[in-house]
Amino acid sequence: MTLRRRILLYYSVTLSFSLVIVGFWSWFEFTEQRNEALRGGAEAALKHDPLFETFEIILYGGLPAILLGIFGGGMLMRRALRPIEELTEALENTDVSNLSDLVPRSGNGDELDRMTAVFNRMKERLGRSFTQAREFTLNASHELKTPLTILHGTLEQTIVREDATVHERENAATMLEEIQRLSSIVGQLSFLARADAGLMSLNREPVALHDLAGDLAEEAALLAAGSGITVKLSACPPIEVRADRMRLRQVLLNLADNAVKYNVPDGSIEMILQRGDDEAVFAIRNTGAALAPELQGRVFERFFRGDPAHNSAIEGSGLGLSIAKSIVEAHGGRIGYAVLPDGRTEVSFAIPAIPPP
Amino acid sequence: MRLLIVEDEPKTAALLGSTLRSEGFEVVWAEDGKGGLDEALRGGFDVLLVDIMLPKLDGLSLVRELRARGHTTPVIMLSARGEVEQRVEGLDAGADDYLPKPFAMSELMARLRSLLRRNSPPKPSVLSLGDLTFDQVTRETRRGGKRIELSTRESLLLECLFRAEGGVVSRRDIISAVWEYDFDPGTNLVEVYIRRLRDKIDREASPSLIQTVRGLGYALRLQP
Repeated sequence: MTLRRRILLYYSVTLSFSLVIVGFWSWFEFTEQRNEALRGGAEAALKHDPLFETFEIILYGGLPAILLGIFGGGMLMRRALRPIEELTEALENTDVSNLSDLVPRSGNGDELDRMTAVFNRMKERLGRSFTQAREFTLNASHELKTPLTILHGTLEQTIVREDATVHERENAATMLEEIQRLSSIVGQLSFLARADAGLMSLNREPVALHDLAGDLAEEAALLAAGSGITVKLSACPPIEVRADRMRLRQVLLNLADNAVKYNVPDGSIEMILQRGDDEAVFAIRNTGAALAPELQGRVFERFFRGDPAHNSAIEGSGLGLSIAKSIVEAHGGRIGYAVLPDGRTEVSFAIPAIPPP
Repeated sequence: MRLLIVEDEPKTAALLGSTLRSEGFEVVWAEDGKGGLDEALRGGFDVLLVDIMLPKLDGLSLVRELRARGHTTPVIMLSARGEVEQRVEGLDAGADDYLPKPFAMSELMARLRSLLRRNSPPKPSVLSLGDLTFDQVTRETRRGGKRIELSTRESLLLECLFRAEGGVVSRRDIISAVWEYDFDPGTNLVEVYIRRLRDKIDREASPSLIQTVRGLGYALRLQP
C-alpha cells in the first residue's frame, strides 16, 4: 500500500470512530427526549432547551471524539510514519564503518520502501568508492616498493664504487636520504590503508602499561635533552591492558616524539598514566604553542602538520598521529587533543584496562 | 659462495645480481617459481633469495616444497607486501629470514652474513677491534684496557655494529636490533644513541671507530 493510501485509511478510520461517538451520543440524547415526550407530553419535551442539548452533545459526544481523533489519529500517524523515522535514524548513524549494513526494507513497494532501496543503493555505491580509494592506496604503496628498492640499491652501488668522486657520493647520499624518507611514507600509507580495511593484525597480550610509560619517559628524556626540554612522568600506577605491545610502543613513541618536536626550547613535557572507569588513560602534555582553535579538530587528519607558517622546519610526514589514532581505535579506545587552561597542549588516549586483581 | 635468486622482476634481479657478484657471490637467476624450484632441487647453493609473488609457483609454495623434499638450504624471502603476517607466513613455510621491500643492499648483505655465519664455527665470546673489546656474554666493554660502562641499549647498539664485521648497518637494522621495533619510529633516537656511544668509546681515544656513512648508516671499523 502506498503511504498516501495508508494515511488516508488511518485518517478515515479515526474520523469514522469520531462520527460513531457523536452519533451514539446524539442517539442517546434524542431517545431520552422522545421517551420523556412520550411519558410527559409536549410540555415535558419543551423542557429541553435546544441550545443546551446541542451543548451537551458537543461536550459528551464531540469532546471524546476530538480526543480520540487526537490520540488515536496521532498513534496511527506515528505508525504510518515509523518507516520514515527508521530511515532517518539509519541516515543519522551512517558513517564509513557501516556502509555495508543495509537498512531493512518493508518490501511493500510504497514510497518509503522505494526510498529505502535508493538509500541502500547509495550506501553500496559509497562503500564501493571507499573500498576503491583504500585499495588504491594499498596497491599504490605496494607498487612503489619495488622501484624504491631498485633506486636505493643503485645509489648504494654509486656510493661504494671506488672511482666515484666526492661530489657524486654526496649527491647519492642526499638522494638516498630522500628515498628513505619516501620509503617511510610509503610504509606508513600502507599501514593506514590496511588499518582502514580492518586488516591491522593485533597480537594482543597482557601488557604492563606502566612499564612502557617508564621506558618511554627515559627515551623521551634522551630525545629532549638536546633542546633543554625536561621530561617528567608525574603519575604511573600499575595498569595492565590487553594490547599489542609493539603497536602500543609505536603510539607512545609517536606522542613523545611530537611532544619534543613541537615544543619550545627549554620547555617541559609531562606524562600522566591514570586508571579511569575500566580503562587506562595516558596523557602527555607539552609547552609547545597551542594550535589555532580552527585547526585543533584536524590534528589526527592525514598529512596534517600544524600551522604551515611555523612548522616547515619540523621533520615528519604528518602521518604519525593518524597512525596513533588508528592503533588506539583498533584497541577499542579513543584519542584526543586538548589545550589546557594553563596553555599547554595535551594529547591523551584511553584504552580498556584489565581490572586490578 | 653460490646463490640462487628467484625473482620475476628483471631490474630487481639485475641489481641483486650485480651487488652480490661484487661481494664475491656466484649468482644464478631463475625468473619464475617453477624454474626456481627445479634449480634449487638440483642443489649446490649456499643460500636462496626468493620473492613471494612469482609466476607459475609462488615463493611460499616453493619453499614448502623444497623443505618437504628435505632440502635445508637457507632461504631469505623478499616481498613487497612487507607486513607482519607475511613475515610469519614466510617463516612458517620454512624460510630462515624475511626482508620486506623496499630494502637496502646493505641490509640484504647483513642478513646474508648472519645466515651464513650460522653454519660457521662459533665466534669467540669476546669481540675486538683495535684496542676496543666487547664481551658478548658479560657485556663488558673496554677500550685500551679501560673499562667503559654502557647502558643496555648502548651495549646492544655496539654489539649490532660489531656483528656487521666492518659492514655498514642501516638505521632500520639498528632500530630492529636495539629496540626490536618493527616500524620506523620517525625520531632521531638512533642518532642520539650513536652520539652517546661515541662519547664513551671514541672521545678519549683515537682512532675513531664508529663511522657515519651518510645515506647508508653506521659502521664500526678502523678505516673508512
